[in-house]
Amino acid sequence: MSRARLKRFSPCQLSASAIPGQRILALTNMITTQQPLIYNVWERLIAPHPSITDIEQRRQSRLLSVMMLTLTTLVGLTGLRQLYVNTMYADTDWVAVFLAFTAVFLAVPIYWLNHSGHYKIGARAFTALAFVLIASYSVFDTFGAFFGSLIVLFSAIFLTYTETQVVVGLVLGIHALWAFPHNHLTAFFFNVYIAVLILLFVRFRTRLEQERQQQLRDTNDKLRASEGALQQINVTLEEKVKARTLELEHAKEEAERASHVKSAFLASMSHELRTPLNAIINFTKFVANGDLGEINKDQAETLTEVVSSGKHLLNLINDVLDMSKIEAGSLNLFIEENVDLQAILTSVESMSKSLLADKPVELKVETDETLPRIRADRQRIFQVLLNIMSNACKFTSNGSIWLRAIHTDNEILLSVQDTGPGIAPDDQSLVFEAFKQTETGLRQGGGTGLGMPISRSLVEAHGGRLWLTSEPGKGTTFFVALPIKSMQLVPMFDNMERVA
Amino acid sequence: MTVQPIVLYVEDDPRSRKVMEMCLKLKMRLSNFTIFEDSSRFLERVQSLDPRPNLVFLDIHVKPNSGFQMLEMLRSVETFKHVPVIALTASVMNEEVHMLQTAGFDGCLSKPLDMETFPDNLKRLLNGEHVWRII
Repeated sequence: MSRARLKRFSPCQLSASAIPGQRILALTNMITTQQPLIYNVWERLIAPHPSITDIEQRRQSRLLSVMMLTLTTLVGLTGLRQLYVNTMYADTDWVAVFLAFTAVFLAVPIYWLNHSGHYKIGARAFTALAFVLIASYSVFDTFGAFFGSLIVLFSAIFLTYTETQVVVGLVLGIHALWAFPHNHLTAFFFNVYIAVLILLFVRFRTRLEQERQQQLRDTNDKLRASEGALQQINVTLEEKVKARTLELEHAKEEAERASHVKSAFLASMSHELRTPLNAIINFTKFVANGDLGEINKDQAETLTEVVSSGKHLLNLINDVLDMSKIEAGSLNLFIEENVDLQAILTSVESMSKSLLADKPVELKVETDETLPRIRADRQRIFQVLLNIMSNACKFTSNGSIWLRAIHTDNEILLSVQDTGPGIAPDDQSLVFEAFKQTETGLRQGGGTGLGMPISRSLVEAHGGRLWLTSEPGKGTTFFVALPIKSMQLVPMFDNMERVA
Repeated sequence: MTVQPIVLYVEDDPRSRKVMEMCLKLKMRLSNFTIFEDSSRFLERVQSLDPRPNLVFLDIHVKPNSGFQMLEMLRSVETFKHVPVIALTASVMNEEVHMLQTAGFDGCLSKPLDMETFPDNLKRLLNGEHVWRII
């Protein structure tokens, strides 16, 4: 019966059960669980001492305890029977009675020795006791053969192989001393035969055990060796990881330093180029406007060319700087929450109208009634849309341009459709490559060839997509899909006023 | 609304000074303006101005006091605490504009100065609007 079941009916639980029927049931169970209690007592009596750790010896110790206890009981009972026979029939075997009580008397200390952890001494004492008792009682008759075998068997069970050999020698020697003079050779040889068999068996078992242990040791050694190798690999790996991490940290620092130097260089270049452009563009404008005195029409036109070249140079500077930043991976977006796309579209629309001037092109804006505010860099989104729109205005000589904005739950889709010349399929990918203008673009002039690649990078930096569809001769549509609340963008200011 | 702009401009580059001067004089027909060639004894000189400027344009890379330092000086005196201060600079990379915004400038006009929109921007700034015009 299991211990778990025993525990389930603890006294505490017994008193806790309020229903009488259940209480009776619990009591019944308590009674049936008395049996394991006896079992437990028995278990405790024969349990080997905790100091014995070897599995085989624990088994032997248990067995010895069992034998000592049963011997005490059985031999004791036999002795009592002899006494009883004595009173009834008066033919007492006094030797038997004496030996029986000696056995009981000696079995108890052997049990105690074994039970308190001195198994080896106990086992030897038991074998010696058995030897003395049996030898003194019955070696000297026909049955001596069986009893001699019994001693050998005991020593085979409880003692080592060498000790068993000694016991066999003693038993056979003493038996021989009696058997040869009395011509009881059959019994003697029977005893020899059994003893040899037992020795062979023990030898066989010992060898088997040795081989098994050797096998275990070998396996253990192999395991330890591979464990060592693994540890070595681990250590090497750790060292490699450390070295690599250090290398990477250095590389990162180096890259950061390089990026910082590059940013500083770009900033200073921007500053240095813009400052003279301020003079070039504005002084030329004053002269061209006639603010500094009358000039003729040709002079005015030429000076206007200077101004637009200056502006082109400014655009080029901006674009080259943007492109360098994108390529250096140092383009920082200035993200705001709640960017009003409608306001951006309105500015784009009004600027596009001035770009179209008096061309016969109709500009139509179609947007959802309410557009959600988005998390974005206002300036950059404006830059992207203006870039797409100014391309459409530039390449469309007549017809219409549609600026559309629709939204889904998490995305805004902007599109600019024109009735321009369209882009040949082969050229469509060139549009997004730096410094690659299409034939039409080159003929039209004015662009830097960087606007679209920059726009695409900017949109992608927002977690969005920029693409086009086009049919040569019919027109082109550019699409910009922007996430409404992109998780990859971290807002820097909230509703910072910044009018483009 | 007919508040006349009284402009103070601090700029160490002579050509940029001349652009501003021509812009104010020739384009906007204004005569009430002051231009500092450097930022030495800045606060002292600003406070001695009469009439007091109601718009301040600052270049950023000026010596001995940078645009940021001048802004701080102006904000430290009661009389200039609420006067619009605008950065007029060629350093208009995103990071630089961000620094201007966090420093507390009321706006920024980039160089080259866009003359076409300048008068309108002046008006808006005088009205208390912020103008970040970076081209």
